[in-house]
Amino acid sequence: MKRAFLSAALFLTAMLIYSQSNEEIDAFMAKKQADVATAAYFTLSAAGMQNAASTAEAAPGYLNENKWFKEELKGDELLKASDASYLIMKAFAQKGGIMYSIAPGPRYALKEIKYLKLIDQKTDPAKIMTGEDFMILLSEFLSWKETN
Amino acid sequence: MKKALFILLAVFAAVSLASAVDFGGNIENYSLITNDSDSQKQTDKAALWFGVSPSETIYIKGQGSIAYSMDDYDFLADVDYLYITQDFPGAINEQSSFTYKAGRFFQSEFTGKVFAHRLDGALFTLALPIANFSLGAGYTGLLLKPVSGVNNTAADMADDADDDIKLAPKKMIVRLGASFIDIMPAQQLDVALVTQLDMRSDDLLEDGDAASEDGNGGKLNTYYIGAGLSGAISGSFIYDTYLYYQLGKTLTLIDDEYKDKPISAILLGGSLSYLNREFYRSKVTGSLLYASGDDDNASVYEGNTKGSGTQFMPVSTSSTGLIFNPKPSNLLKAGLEYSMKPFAESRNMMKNFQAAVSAGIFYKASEGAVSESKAAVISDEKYLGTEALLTLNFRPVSDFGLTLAGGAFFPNDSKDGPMGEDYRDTEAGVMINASLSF
Repeated sequence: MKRAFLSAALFLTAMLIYSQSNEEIDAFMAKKQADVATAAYFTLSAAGMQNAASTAEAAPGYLNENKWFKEELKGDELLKASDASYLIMKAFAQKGGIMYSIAPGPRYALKEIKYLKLIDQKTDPAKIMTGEDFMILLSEFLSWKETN
Repeated sequence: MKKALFILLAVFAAVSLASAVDFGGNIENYSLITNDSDSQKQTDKAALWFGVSPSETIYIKGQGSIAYSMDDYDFLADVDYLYITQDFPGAINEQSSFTYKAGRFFQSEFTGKVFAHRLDGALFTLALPIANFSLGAGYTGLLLKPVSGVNNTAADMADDADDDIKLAPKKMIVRLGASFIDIMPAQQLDVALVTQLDMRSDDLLEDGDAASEDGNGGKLNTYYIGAGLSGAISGSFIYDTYLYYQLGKTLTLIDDEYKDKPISAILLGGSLSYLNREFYRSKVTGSLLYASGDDDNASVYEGNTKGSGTQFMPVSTSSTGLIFNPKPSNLLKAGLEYSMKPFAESRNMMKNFQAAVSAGIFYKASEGAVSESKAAVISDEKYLGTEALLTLNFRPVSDFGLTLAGGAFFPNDSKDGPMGEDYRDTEAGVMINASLSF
């Protein structure tokens, strides 16, 4: 049942990030350590912000220009669970709790994602995500967004 | 107090500075205001927690807190939990998983009505496709007395009243559980074995002692064997049932001499709920709880005076009501609750608002005493009273929650009834529970 749900959710995600080729998605999902640049590129595309970054290489530039993160992101930087959560929350302009409203950032974004039960409650903020983990998280967020 | 606070902050700072550590905190207020000043409670608690994963399968988590209580204690610094847990996926085969957890943490049998409490100990769990097996053991004697709920003997009650005693009664709890998932479609069978061993080394009364001997009761070792069935009857009806049989020995005063008498008591109960998601996510639940009593028990704490002990006594305290809250011991309670989410379909924060109305009718299971001091006398009449409540739950955002409950307990006001002379008037109360996490 869960597998069927995930397949459907991943299909939905692929539809939303239609501009990427299957090869790009497959290559990213095969990564044992996901990079911020590609994750940001897929997230911006799924959020309908294709114009913000037309390639994975351009995505960190957009985030840095718009000061999404306190510290400047590098293209080859590995993707932490907390950064992945914030990337998704920010791209989809998802509202959070009191603390996220006061201090929006990776720390409280991960807490919001945990509250929505989209990620394992034990997930460490500094955990480096695999490409597959990130795509599943993005898919589950999109499915949740559909009904909320 | 200052020392404890310093240690807590130092531990928190140390783990926060370490790499890959998640941390946070929460602030909570619980207030119960009633027209009986003795029943009023207010607790304010601030807690800091950390969680760290040194590897994919190991997780360490801890929480320390400072609490202020208006009624039970002033300030209290405590380690709420501190444990390590490790998963071994594929321990026996691909579908299996073995987990251990060690330290201070909350443990419970499947109902939470016999035992649900924090312990310093360990828990081993084996998850297989057909069932989950667990073995847990732990000690209560290092927990702080004001935040423990394992008083089951006359000696425990005497310690509870002694301000010089800071720690909870010394008990060793061992429990064994198995949950058979989907024994039939959507049906779960739980079985459990719980053992409570009294680890007191005080000079307690024993079998054969004369009534003139000084002392506060004897040791109480008890054993519980239980089973429960739960699941769905159809898409809209869910149920749960449970039955526990208690064994052990209780010190009994007969003809001016203390004698150990066997315990033979039962706890049984269940609930049936009807769910209607279309009508504001409505839920109607009827529940029944029966905990056997003993006609000759003048007190629930080793109060047996004749024959074997038939009064059920759980290991830890669980809630049966808000204003009137006796232990599940010598008790028959029938409850009915209706809850709904009136804004469930909205897309704003109001969708998380829930309202519930409930009523609970309390009877004694026997003529003996119940644990509530308001009704701690032997009486022929068994009807204790009825509690009616309106409860509002609201969690507008992920990190803030609020519960408001208001209602009244309408006691049996009969002169020959079980309620004490000062407790025969209606008691109204309001409870507020607010929490913010950060």
